[in-house]
Amino acid sequence: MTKTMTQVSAIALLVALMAASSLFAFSKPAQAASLTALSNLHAGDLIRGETFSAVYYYGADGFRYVFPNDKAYFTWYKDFNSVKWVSDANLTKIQIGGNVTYKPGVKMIKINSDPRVYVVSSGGVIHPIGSEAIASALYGATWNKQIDDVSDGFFPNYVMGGSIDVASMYDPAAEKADAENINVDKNLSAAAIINISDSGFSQPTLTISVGTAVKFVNTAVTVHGASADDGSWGTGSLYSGDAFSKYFKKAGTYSYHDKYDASKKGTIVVL
Amino acid sequence: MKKFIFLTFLAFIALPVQAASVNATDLVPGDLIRGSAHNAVYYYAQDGMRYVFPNEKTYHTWYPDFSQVKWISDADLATVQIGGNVTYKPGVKLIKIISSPVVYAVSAHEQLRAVASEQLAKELYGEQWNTWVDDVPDEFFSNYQVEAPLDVASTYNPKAETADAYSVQNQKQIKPFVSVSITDSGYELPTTTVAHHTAVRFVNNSSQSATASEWDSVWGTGTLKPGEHFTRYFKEDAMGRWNFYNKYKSKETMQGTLVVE
Repeated sequence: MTKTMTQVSAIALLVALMAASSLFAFSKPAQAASLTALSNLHAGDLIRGETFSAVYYYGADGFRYVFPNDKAYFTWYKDFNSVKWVSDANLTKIQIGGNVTYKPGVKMIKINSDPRVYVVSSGGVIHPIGSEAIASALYGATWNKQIDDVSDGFFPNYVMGGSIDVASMYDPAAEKADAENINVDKNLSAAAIINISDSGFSQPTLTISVGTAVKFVNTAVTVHGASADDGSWGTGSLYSGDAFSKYFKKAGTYSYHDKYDASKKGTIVVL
Repeated sequence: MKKFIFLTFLAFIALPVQAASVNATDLVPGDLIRGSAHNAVYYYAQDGMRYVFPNEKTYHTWYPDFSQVKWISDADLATVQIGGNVTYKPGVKLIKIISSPVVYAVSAHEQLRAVASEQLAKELYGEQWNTWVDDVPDEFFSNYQVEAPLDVASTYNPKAETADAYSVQNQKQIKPFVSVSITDSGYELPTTTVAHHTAVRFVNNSSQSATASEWDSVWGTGTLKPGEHFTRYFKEDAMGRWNFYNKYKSKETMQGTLVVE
């Protein structure tokens, strides 16, 4: 095979692979994988339901995180091979936590209504690049081919950081290496669990730090639900086995009760 | 009705024949704006930022048509930073996501309240309640906060919710921005104090390029040419005392302090 032919076939293969993977993202494969039970999901799994093809990241906090589009997905994963299928009924039980942002270091991003180009670092923090020379120092001569347009509606998923005024302030390879996975990138950790039974809450007083999720699980046969004493939040009615998670983002003392038995009380202290 | 929908759709995707153009400096909070190359419409808020309508359905919970949209140049649009996404106007519609059967009522300040039963949905929106439900794409669901579920109809009044939501910026609780002025003799005020959740606009009123860069580069404006500005939100997690300086000078010769309370 001549060199040209090798190149041509390599390109053809690449195109075919790209076509196949993008097809996979939008259409239902002929053969559905077997369904994974919720109890067998692990933090960091990629999941999807049966009817819709959207793929989510199953976070350490028990929430699912949305990939706003294929481009964001492919900064983290090469293909869809490891996606686990869960039943639609089970997918509805996993609440949406937020959107996945670009993996740090992989691409630069911009929006079409602003010429500024940004690098991405952990936690979706973006930094405007001070000059073309810096962009070229960071991403090489082809830097302008490594910029993705992010649609306006997803731009608020990013946090504006300081500008990169000298190339040494940002190292794409190191950023990429540090972003081990989405849990690390988003700094997600396991939810604190409060079980609800007929005799009350498993942790009547729970102390957590700001930005922790609490998962209320009804372990009883009868219906229960946690409701804030001031009515500002609540789990709704939880039937046997149901769960509801809520993030506590502000410090304070949160008093609540069982809406089906007001004598059962609990307090969450957020420090 | 069908024709009307089609026409509005066209208006959203096609360029109207004539456009009245205004300058970025003439914008007033509450204006609807768009550039010339792209047809996306934004809400201009009093923090000096533009807010994105994620889709047409969201737009039409606030506005019947596009007749009030002001055109600005693409260069001017680029100077108006994006602040966030607009959410559904409270009370107008019920929303859900396709991957969950839960139907939510939209309440003040972008809060969602799960409607506990079909009966309750009927009491709020009538027999045809299910025609009032919009599917919100998963990727915009996290623009909302899920709060207490609705158990009794008396705790939610769609019309009152709509009436109370008189503007996008009121729903988002957006306050006017606070300016930090850069002058030829340094930062105009040595110390600026703001409440948290305030947008701070650094404006270069000097005759040369300048920056306001946090001491350890935690945040910064990047290079601001004369006349340019950059806005940054200081939220709860940014409370405290920040020192910044002009990278075109030095920490010793041009510094300022921002206190976020």
